Amino acid sequence: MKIRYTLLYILIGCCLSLHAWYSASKSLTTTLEKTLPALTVASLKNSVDDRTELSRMSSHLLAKLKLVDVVSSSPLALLDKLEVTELALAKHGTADNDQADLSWVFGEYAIALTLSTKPRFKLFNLMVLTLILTLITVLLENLLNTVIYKAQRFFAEKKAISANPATEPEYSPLYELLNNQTELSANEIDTLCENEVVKQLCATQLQWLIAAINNKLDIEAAINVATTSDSISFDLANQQVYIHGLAIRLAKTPLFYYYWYAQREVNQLPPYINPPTNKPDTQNGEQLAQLMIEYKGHQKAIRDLQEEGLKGKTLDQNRNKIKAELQKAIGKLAENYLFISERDIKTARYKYRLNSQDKKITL
Amino acid sequence: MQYRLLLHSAKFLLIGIILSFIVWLISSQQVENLELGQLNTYECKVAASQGELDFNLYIPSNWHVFSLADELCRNTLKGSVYNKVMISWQPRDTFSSELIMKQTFNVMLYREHALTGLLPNWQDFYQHALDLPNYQLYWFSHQDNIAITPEFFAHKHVGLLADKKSATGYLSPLSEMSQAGINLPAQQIHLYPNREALIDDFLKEKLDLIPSPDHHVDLINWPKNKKHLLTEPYSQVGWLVSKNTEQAVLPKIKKSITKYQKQLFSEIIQPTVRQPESTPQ
Repeated sequence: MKIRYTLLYILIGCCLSLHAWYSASKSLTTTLEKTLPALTVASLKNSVDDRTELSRMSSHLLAKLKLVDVVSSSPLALLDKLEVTELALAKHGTADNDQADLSWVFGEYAIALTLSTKPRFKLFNLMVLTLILTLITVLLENLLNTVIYKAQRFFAEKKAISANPATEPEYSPLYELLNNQTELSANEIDTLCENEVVKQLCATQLQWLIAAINNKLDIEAAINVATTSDSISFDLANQQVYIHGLAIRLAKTPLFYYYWYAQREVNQLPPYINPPTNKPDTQNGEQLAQLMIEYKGHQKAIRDLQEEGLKGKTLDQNRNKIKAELQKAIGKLAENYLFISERDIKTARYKYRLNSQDKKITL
Repeated sequence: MQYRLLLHSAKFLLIGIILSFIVWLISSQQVENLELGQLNTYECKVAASQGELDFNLYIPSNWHVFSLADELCRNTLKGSVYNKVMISWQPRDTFSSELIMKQTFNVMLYREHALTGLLPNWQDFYQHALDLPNYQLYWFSHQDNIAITPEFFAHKHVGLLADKKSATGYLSPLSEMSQAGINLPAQQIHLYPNREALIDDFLKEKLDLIPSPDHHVDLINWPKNKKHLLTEPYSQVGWLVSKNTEQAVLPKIKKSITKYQKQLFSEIIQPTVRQPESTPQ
């Protein structure tokens, strides 16, 4: 977000300063266009050597226009002065005509003026104006976002009302469900509603269907996910876990912890009691570290496990990360795939295990 | 999805348009009243000046203007009441009777008959100081045996100056043609903004005939049989000094002007002296 605003600020600053420079320069050219042709022609009429006279006029003008005063259209002036760095008058043919900023006719030939300017900005004003404009832009964007959101709601409602009588009554709850919870187009939803497999799906399966669609799966793959049984399987090499057949990418370290808990379930081990703060579990720590080494885990996580063993705090952190990431991907459906906690009677500490009820776990 | 994309593109487009408009509106800058002054003048500061007066001088061309200004500023007017020298070679058609009455120029190199045309009693304001040495005006051609006859001028392209007040570039040649009964159609008469352009085109043989004083650098060695003397029906050019000019500096000014004239005409005097030696080549 910060980067976005900084970029916006820089962009606006550039636009402001470049346009200020351009408009001042343009205005100088326009002013010169009005006066210079008559003035130069008046001098050349009685001049003996045109080339010498043109270069004399050039240096005379350059000295005179060294620093040009500028007026601004806004109360905060952006430019202090416009500096003329180069000014040259030349006969056509001797100067590259395409580069001429102005040219006018003198008898059989033409006189070309080339002009280079350099701006002298009022930096403080420039920064203040840029800031104001950046704020206006951000406000405008927020305002438009609200408008768009409201418009979308309005049209969605209107579409729902008009769609209701059109579709068959028995599909309309499904239609509405898909319309509200996915970003599919009306056509796609209609196709889905017609699908025989989809018609047979139960409420939970429908939720999986929606979750899969919202995870950018195509319709066919999403239906596959919906019809898959409750399962967890790991693909450590690709850093992802398949939940109910839906691939979810997890950060490396939380994924290993998730795997480790799953492993305990497969091996039918009891819930794992968080090791006490003063006595980390080195044996399990080493086991986890080996797993991480095998699948290229983060060096720091491996080192910590090998040096200090498995700590309660790390376990808590990683369980929370798993929870957050799964919820982000599949929302409420995640709850069934998280941890069950209870207090250990003997040690009075919490112990955790993966909720593996009615699930097939593949490692 | 596409619908959302469309809405958001429209949003950014709208923001872009509004932003560009505001940027355009508030960052527009304009240069303030630019005072360029005249370009047909050359100025210099008088050395050790004792006053605040301007010394203005008019010459009909900027030939050797730098050395003239330099002479006036460093020597002639040194320590005088004049503070600044301004030499102008403004177009003849900008000359007005007011200019004479106001004695804008302290010194002018001008044709007296032209002044009479502007203000018959010009002598109340200016006095004659010096004459410009007589120089001659010629017709220049690429052909031998120029004759001022309709037959010779037929199908010839003649170049003149566009300045209708120029005696040498417009009035004299035209009046001579007129007297000789030469009436050229408009497409045979070409008018040029200044003498350099006129002579350039003549040298490129785009023109058959042009009038010019023979002391012009590019025409100095033109073969004698390819030029023809043009009668000069007007009185010569003279140096006129305004009556409000400090009398004390007058002798010095005359001296400087003489020196300047020598510089102008050295170019004709030299070849006429050397010509016998250079002919054998």
